[in-house]
Amino acid sequence: MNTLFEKLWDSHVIEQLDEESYLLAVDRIYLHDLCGTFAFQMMKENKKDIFRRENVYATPDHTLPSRKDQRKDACEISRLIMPKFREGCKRYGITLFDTGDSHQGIVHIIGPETGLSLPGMTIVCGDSHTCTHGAVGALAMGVGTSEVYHALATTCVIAKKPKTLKIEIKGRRKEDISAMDIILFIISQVGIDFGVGYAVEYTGEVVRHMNIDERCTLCNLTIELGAEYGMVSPDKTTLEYLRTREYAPSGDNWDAMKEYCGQIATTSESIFDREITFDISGISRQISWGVDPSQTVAVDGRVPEIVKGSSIAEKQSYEKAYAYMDLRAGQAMSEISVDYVFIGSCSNGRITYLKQIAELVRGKKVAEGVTAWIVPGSAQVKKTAEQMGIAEIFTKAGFSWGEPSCSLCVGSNGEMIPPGKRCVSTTNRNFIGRQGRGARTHLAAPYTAALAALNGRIV
Amino acid sequence: MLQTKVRYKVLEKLGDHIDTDVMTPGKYLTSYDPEYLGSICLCDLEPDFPSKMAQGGILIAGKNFGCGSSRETAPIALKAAGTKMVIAEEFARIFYRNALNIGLPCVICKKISENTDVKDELEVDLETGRIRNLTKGTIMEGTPIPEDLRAQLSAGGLMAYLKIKLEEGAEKEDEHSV
Repeated sequence: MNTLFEKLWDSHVIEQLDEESYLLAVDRIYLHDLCGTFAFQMMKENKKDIFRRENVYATPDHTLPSRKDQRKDACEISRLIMPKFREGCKRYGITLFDTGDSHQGIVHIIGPETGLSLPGMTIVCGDSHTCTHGAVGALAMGVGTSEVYHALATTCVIAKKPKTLKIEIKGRRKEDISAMDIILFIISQVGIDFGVGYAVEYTGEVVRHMNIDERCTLCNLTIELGAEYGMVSPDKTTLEYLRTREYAPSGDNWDAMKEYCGQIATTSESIFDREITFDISGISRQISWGVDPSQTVAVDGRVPEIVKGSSIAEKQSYEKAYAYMDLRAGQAMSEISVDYVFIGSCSNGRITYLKQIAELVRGKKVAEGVTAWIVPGSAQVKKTAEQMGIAEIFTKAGFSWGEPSCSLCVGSNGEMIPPGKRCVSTTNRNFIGRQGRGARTHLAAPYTAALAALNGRIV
Repeated sequence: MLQTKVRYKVLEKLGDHIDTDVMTPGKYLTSYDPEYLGSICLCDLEPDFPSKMAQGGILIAGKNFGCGSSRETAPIALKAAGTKMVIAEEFARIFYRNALNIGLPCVICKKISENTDVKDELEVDLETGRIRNLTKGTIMEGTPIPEDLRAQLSAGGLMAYLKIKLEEGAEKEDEHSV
């Protein structure tokens, strides 16, 4: 029997183009400021219009500074991009959740949060972390600008059919272990190209007990496994989450969607091309030490040494990481002091995590010499945190509280970590130069990042 | 008539997991101008890359080339810097599609890194995927580029190709209407 992925794929095929390639129907297109602006440019140059504008939603995130005082015009990229982005949305009649709108936020946060991303949908966005939306049972793919343009003009996309990969997560999860720890642990075990050519579905008791925020984190980092798609089959949790969302269906449509979820869900009889199981009982909190997400160890671990029998490529990649991160093999992670802490992004800028760390931070202070930022992933997350009094806990402790944006994750909004400085970051990429030229990034869960802020070192 | 064999020198050899962030870092994403993107391509990893590639040639790499961000600026920058073709042991999927969409040929060859050095001259048959290392006198098997994609490449990318196809379609309709 088919899996969720195959059922969604098959029901969206318009035509098979060759052995592996298919023309797929696209249900939802999201535009963000960076990719959307250049897609508009292509539309204009090619004199095309949008085929089904009611399926397209836009919001700025990549080029927006998160500092309130710099929001409007402090960033050169933003100054250049934002007017064109707004103009394009207006010209093509696309719904734009602009700055100040209660729906604005990082595109991968607001999709599930507003109920615009729904089970069974095909979703396209010009960002590799589009796989996040798979958390609600959608088939969501990140594409390049040419393909966004193509999708806008035709509501179709050409895609190669991947194989299916089941990642089962089982075992007893320790209380302080978050979805970020689990996915970093998995990537550290199998490497960043393990999923190339696969669509991943996360299953197992641990995933079943996760809320949608946590499932979003799992699916978000699926691209860091090399897989383009990450999904969780829709279940009771999915429906409960969506029921009150503004754009989710209501009345008869809700009942129809509920029934449809039952039809598309993966069952115990579904057959995957490949299956792998992880038992997370006993794993500790995780943190990356190197320059790709697989170079990750437990927070109470040490910078790994090059093991005997490593290939030349493995040796070189370790040496490159030691040098760039200014670490030595065997060094305890807990010896490493930090200059910056960033909590936010499409991986972890969600309310579940802010609530969790608020308890930890309450009444404490950010360590001297540490610059610590918390940037909520959306206007909704920000508002909720402020109403609950969480934001105040953070600011009293010395964290800076930002406006929703990609902020320190992406390096395209003027917010960057200075060269040589070390940042514990709840983002998804620790690649060389990702947070700024010479910036040293340690990926971690919000809880670990908050601990680092309070202690001035990795804890 | 499609060009099926191309001959170039290898001008750069990179390792595994070269991500698109190092190809075009975030702060340079303000422009799609190829010349600008070519000038900053790989600036944090290999600052000499644009000058090394300027004469036009092949870039070879290891596993998972182009992993990470879906930014289309990455293949645009490589191509603008002079890269005529990338041969890698494995490509990240989004990069591979973007590269073909903007007209940068990508060939997968599992043995490319161990059997090829910078300055080797290669002849690549796009139709069969066969790679002849003319300097070393060896032959390697790579993946062919599908006919559709070869047509796209010789047209200069997906958009140019679709335009030609649409025009052909329009002509055919005209013929029918006569």
